[in-house]
Amino acid sequence: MSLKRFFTLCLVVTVFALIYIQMQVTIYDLAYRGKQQADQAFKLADSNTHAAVNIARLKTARHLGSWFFDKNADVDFASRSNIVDVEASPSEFAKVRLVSAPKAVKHVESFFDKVLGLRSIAEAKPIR
Amino acid sequence: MYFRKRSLRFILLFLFSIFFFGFFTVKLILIQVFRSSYLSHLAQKQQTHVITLTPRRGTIYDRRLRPLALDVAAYSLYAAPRMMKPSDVQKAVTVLPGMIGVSRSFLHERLTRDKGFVWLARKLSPEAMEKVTKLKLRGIHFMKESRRRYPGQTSAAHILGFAGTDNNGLEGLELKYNSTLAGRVGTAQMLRDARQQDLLIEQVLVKPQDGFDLVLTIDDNVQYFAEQALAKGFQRSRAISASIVVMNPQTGEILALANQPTYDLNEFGKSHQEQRKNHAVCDMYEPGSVFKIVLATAALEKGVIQETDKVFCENGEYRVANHILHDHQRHGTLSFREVMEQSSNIGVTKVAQKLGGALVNEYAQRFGFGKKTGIDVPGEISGFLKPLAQWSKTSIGAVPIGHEVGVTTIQLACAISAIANGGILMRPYVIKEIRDKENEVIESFSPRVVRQVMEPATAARVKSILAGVIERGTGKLAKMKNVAAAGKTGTAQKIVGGQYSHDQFYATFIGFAPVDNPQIAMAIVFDNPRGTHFGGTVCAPIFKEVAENVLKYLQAEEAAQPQEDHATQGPAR
Repeated sequence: MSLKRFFTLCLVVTVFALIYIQMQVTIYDLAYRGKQQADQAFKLADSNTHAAVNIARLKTARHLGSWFFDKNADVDFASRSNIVDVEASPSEFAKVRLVSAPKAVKHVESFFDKVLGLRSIAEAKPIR
Repeated sequence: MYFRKRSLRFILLFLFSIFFFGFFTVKLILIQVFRSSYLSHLAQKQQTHVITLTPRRGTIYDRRLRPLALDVAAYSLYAAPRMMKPSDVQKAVTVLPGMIGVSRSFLHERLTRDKGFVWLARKLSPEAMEKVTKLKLRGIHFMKESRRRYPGQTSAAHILGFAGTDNNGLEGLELKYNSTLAGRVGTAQMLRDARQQDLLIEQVLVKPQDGFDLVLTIDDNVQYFAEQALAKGFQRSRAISASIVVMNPQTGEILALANQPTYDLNEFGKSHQEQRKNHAVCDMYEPGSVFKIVLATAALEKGVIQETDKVFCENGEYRVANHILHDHQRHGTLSFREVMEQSSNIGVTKVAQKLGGALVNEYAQRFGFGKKTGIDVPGEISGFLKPLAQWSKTSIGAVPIGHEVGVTTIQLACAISAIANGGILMRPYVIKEIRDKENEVIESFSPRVVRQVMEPATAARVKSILAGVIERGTGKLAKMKNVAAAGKTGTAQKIVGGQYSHDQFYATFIGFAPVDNPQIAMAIVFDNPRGTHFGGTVCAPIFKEVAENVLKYLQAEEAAQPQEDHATQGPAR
């Protein structure tokens, strides 16, 4: 093997080795960043769970009951006797509904929605 | 000369280079070829490690999918004493105790151990964790775990039970359904750096499987009504213990089950055994007059007596073998309906003598006394029903009035439900569904009929008699404003030192409402109430309070049903 060929081979091997090292460094760098993001995500998820538990506690019958009934002795559940039935014909009932129903807001689709949106609004589905 | 000098230097340099490269070539060959597998193994061991992936423990919901028990993250504090210098230990001992709630001596003892790992405090709150982290103490670290939380605190405590420090169920449904709730742990290989810090998961070896969720038949609101009323009654009566079961008589679903004394599930370590006992299924006692429903059912069904037939009640004293039976009030001649309404022991005994012990015993068995109801809550006992062969001469004057038998509150609730629903004994149950984390129903439990106890016509006749008990009899305090209810009171002397006590009693009440379309059935038992001790004065007002609130609530729920059908919705996660 000539000296020139030997040095060329060395150069190629060195370049590949450097690329390999660079890739390893990138992998570890990504791993560190991923770890940080995962920690952040877990922290958020944990605080979310804690908030959910606190909300659940506030929504329990025990909490609401002690709040409403124990502190306000006059408060009671509405029973049939507390409900007033009003007789009305269907047409009268429809009038009441027309008066009380809020006006439907007309949706105006913006130009940017049309151009930039991947799907129409009708296609969008709520996330479960 | 010059050339020779240069040539010599060149040769030396060349030889040195050859030696240098040769040395490293040999070394590389040794490392890469001969020690390759050994060193790869070492590197693998150093750079990766296997961790356990903890699954989420299943949530327990009430029938309207409100969470009753759920998992939250908790942070456990540990130390590596070998890595700590005396100054680090001193600093930790000075600042940590107040933050994590341990004593200085405990902390000092732990931190001076010659160990690589010691626990300092388990399952701390995120706030405590943040405070400690800010101190940046050397050798002090946190490990993330999960902790069981019960938003309702004492709500349904005796049904739910609790999970311990290692998140294993220790009591109640948490214990009975531990394998269902716990899920399966997984393992994964982690990449870690030279400081042994975990980086990303490299490979999941075994996927963790989250625990299944339980949906109960319990209704959080009904449970609250029952608990509140029971707690008030318990305080008033200064009893030893008390229990209440609210049941749907048509299906056997338990809507509420509560006991006093009770405890906070989040602080179970501070409770004592008596507070944790589920008296409704674990305690047996003589039921007293509530047991007269057995005699009434048997006598009416067998045609031994009619509601209007007259019974002479011997003016309050009646001899059965060598035992003299008393009524709490002297009665002359009463109709059978009045015998039940006034709860005359003598009247009932005389009807029982006409009916015969065999039929009394048979109907007691039909009602399910002496056998476990099969409720899916741990610790149920079967009670006690004496076989006919073991009856003494006085048994005919004792068993029909609720002595010489042992029953549980849940058995009484099932028995009164059988009358309410037209004669069918239902198996009581608290688990409605088991769901996976995708909210798919894995297993669903439906009402199960145990047996037909009586004909529907007989049930209707007994119902009418029991409605009279509340309308005119001993259960007047259970009477509601707008709803007709039916029930039976009971007061039984306790056996103390092998004899019936004259100052210690069990007060009981069983009932259902509304009479024409029963939606709830209830059994209430107080052990040794002080002051007034009758079932009609201690338990009947509790029945009234709970029934009024529950019926109004069920009415409101029914009205809201078409707009908001929770059964098809998923739980909020």
